Amino acid sequence: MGDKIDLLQGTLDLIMLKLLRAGPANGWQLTQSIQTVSQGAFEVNYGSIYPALRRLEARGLVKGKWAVTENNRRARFYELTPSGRRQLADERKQWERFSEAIGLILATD
Amino acid sequence: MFADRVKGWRKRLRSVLRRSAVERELDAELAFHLRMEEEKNLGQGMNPAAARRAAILALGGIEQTREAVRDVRNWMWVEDLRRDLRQALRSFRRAPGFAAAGILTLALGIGATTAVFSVVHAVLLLPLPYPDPDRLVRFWETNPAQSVERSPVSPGTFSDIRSRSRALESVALFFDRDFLLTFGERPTVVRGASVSPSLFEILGTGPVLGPGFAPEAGVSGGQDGEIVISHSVWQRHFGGAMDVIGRTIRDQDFSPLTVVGVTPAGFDFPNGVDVWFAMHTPASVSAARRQHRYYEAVARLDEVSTVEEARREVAAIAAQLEVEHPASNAGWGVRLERLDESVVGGSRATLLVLLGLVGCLLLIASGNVANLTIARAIARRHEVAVRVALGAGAPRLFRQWASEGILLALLGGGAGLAVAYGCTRALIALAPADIPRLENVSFGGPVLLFAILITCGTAIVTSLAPVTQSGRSGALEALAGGSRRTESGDPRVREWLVSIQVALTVVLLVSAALLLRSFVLLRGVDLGFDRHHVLTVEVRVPIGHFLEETGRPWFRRVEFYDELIADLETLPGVLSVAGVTDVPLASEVVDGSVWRTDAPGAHGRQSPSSADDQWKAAIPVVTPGYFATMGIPVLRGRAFLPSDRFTSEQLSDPSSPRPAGVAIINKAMAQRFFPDEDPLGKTIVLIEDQSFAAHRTIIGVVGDVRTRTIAEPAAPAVYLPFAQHPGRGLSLIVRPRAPAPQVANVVADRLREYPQVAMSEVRPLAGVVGDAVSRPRFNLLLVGSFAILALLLAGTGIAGVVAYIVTRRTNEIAVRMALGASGTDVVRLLMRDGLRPVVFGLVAGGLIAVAVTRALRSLLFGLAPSDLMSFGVAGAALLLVAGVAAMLPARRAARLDPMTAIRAGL
Repeated sequence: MGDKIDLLQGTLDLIMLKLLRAGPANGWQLTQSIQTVSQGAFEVNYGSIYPALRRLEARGLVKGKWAVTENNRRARFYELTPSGRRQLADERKQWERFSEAIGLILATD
Repeated sequence: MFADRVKGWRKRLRSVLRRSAVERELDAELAFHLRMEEEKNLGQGMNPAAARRAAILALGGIEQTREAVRDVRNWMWVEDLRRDLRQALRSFRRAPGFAAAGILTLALGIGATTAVFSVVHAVLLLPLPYPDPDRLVRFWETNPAQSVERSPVSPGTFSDIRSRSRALESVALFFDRDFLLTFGERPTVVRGASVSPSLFEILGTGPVLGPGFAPEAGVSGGQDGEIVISHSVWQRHFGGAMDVIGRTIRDQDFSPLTVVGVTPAGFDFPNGVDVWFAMHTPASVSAARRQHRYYEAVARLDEVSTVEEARREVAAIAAQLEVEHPASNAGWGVRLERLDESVVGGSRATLLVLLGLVGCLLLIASGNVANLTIARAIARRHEVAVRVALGAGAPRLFRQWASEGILLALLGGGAGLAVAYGCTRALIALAPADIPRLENVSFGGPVLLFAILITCGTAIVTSLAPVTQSGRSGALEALAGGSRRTESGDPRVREWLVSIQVALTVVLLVSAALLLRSFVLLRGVDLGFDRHHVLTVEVRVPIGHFLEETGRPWFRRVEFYDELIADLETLPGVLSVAGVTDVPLASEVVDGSVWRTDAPGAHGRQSPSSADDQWKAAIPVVTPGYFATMGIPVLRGRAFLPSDRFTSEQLSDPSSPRPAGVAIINKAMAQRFFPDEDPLGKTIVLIEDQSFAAHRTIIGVVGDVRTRTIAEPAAPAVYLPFAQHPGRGLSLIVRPRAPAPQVANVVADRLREYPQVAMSEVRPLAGVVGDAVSRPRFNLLLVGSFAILALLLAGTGIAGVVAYIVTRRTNEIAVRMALGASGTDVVRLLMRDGLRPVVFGLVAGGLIAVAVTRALRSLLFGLAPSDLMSFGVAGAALLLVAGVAAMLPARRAARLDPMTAIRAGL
């Protein structure tokens, strides 16, 4: 159970980075994006994006700022930083190599 | 990139400092999220309550989310700290000299301070091991006119206080002395006390075995021959046997004492005694007994009274007694003190002074380490400039320096604990015997907490010090400076540090100088006797032996000591042997009351009508050879002769009229009580002597001898001849023909051949005197060490600052030399600048020392705290060391080749 959570932490961070690449978004919008893009496949506590966003902020990969939405409500918007962009590229490459390797292993009989 | 990281760091700092603001932000964020989710759910057709529930569920719980975010915050903080410390450790490995110097200096300061604190804690701060110790008090009688500050109380005063006091709920008397008990074959000297049975109740401690004393035992006389023994006596002499209750010990007269109780381990009130007897305290006290002042008193306050109230109350009762019984109480007052204060006594001043002075040492050590970190920061300025130019943020660099300072403090603190442990062991070993409660010293919670606190304090100093150097000159300037040795940083901070260090060192030096002079003066005091090469040994024989041998124990005792002394004088190497009841500076002095037979109202055994005519005097009892053996001069009249003795009938028959005896007084007594007349031929009466003699004729005056402490001038004393007053056992004084160490063994061997004798070790009298100065010697050792260490540390600091000035002004020096300045000119210039902060610190330190050394007053002997010579010596020592410390780097600068220096600087 513990391992699963950790894996989820790392992948969740990666997912956030990817989603923010499209442009700044607030927490709720990000959860909606997760739902849409993964077509409801993930059954996660959507609250766990907030610690993930904090981690990313602490590592300097995203930047948070309070702003007003179209509906005139105050929300916190997150934006990818240049180092966040670089990190995303690196992790994406790593992930692809990883899944390639897994695929190869699983493919051989 | 770095800027982003800095922002991330700043956010975390904000979250640490303003927790609630950040938490509120998160709440606002979550509120927005939930609201959006709710609206979505409402749009999908749920009712409001269900919409809200579903929103919270999808979030995974509000509190859980908050927790998760908090965890992230904490984790990041810990990670950063670990990373910083690891980096600091790496940089220490690259600069081991700096790290070693810093850690050692801090270890020294923190260790010494913690060690002193552990002793202070055990002696002064730990409460007494009795229940409710704040309510325990002691009281004494005082007589300011006779300079008596704490006299034992008389039974009359005691019982009147007992019956009239409201504030004192219960009171008890005690009286401790040596007892001569026989557990097995040979007699042993045991420290014991006669106590009111209520004593155990007052102290809240009952026996762990046996019933103890019955409460009425003291009043009605109870059961004589009952004894309560201590835990250690039980272990040592009875092997911890469970059937010890009811077993017997033989008293001095061989009568049996029945063990009725065993106290808990560690209980030894008062003064470390091992056995207790129940004391009879009669209900009414005769007028005569009102003058016998030899009991100590302890009491417990009742629930509602304060010490101050009790104090006022007993003072009022004392005033009443002065009026009611002028013969015994005129001029006498009562003094009340808390028990814990009286146990600690003079040690409090000593220990607090030591703590203050070692604190100065700690500050000096911290100053040195701060200087070190500043020097390091300056030396790395070039490296820092490069990194800043490459984009490193200032906060990040500060964090690095701060973590280095913190790591230095942590390692120094850890090493300091080891140093503290060693120092504490040393302190306890060296401590004078009269510092009480040392067995309580331990490295428990409070001491560790103290060590942690001062480590944190030094951590703050050492991590902030380099920060003061930053921001003065821009990175560009530093880069343009070329070599590492450029003008940089602000010297004022370092100079201030040196000034402060010097000031504190002055305080330590002055204190050490005062204690040194005081100690020398103390050692130089004329004690009144010649202690060189003389040996002393306590010899006690239970009076039961004398009872057995004849029916005349007193006479037999005189005979026994005569024979013993004669026997010892036949030993080879022994010149003369004498006996005395109280060895000067070694034993407790037994006081008695004395008056002249021609005082108004005095006749026969009647004491004078006015208490002013009764004097307190010491009453040493001696054998005829005493004054000669001890080298005490006979000033007038003669010494005792063997013919000054009572016959066997006079000593043994109490019903026959008491004979007249002889006495010798000392100079102090002659000056005080016979100021304008010749004391020879006058007669005096001593209360404590009345079972032996009716009165005494003064036949001689001898020189004063310091008996209580070296510092106290001799008190009035009346010497009695042992052959006329054999009431107590003697200690022997042995003067060898020539100094020879084996004489002690020869004497001890001969004494061991007497089976009825309980003897102590044969030791040199000089050793006894050494014990008497053990406290000033201890103070001097400690403060002297602190002062020397401080001097070394301050000297290093001064050298560092001057070296720093040199590097700062290399160009200027080079130019001056190129223009014709000589080496000595340069040295003079540098030393003038380098010593300026020293002089400032010297003056400031001198002023502070004048104020602070007042606290030393009670530790000094023979000089005032403002003793000019000590100040002068301290100042001179400091200037000397400072001069040498400044000269070394200055001379190195003078040997610079001006051309190379200028070229390097350009």
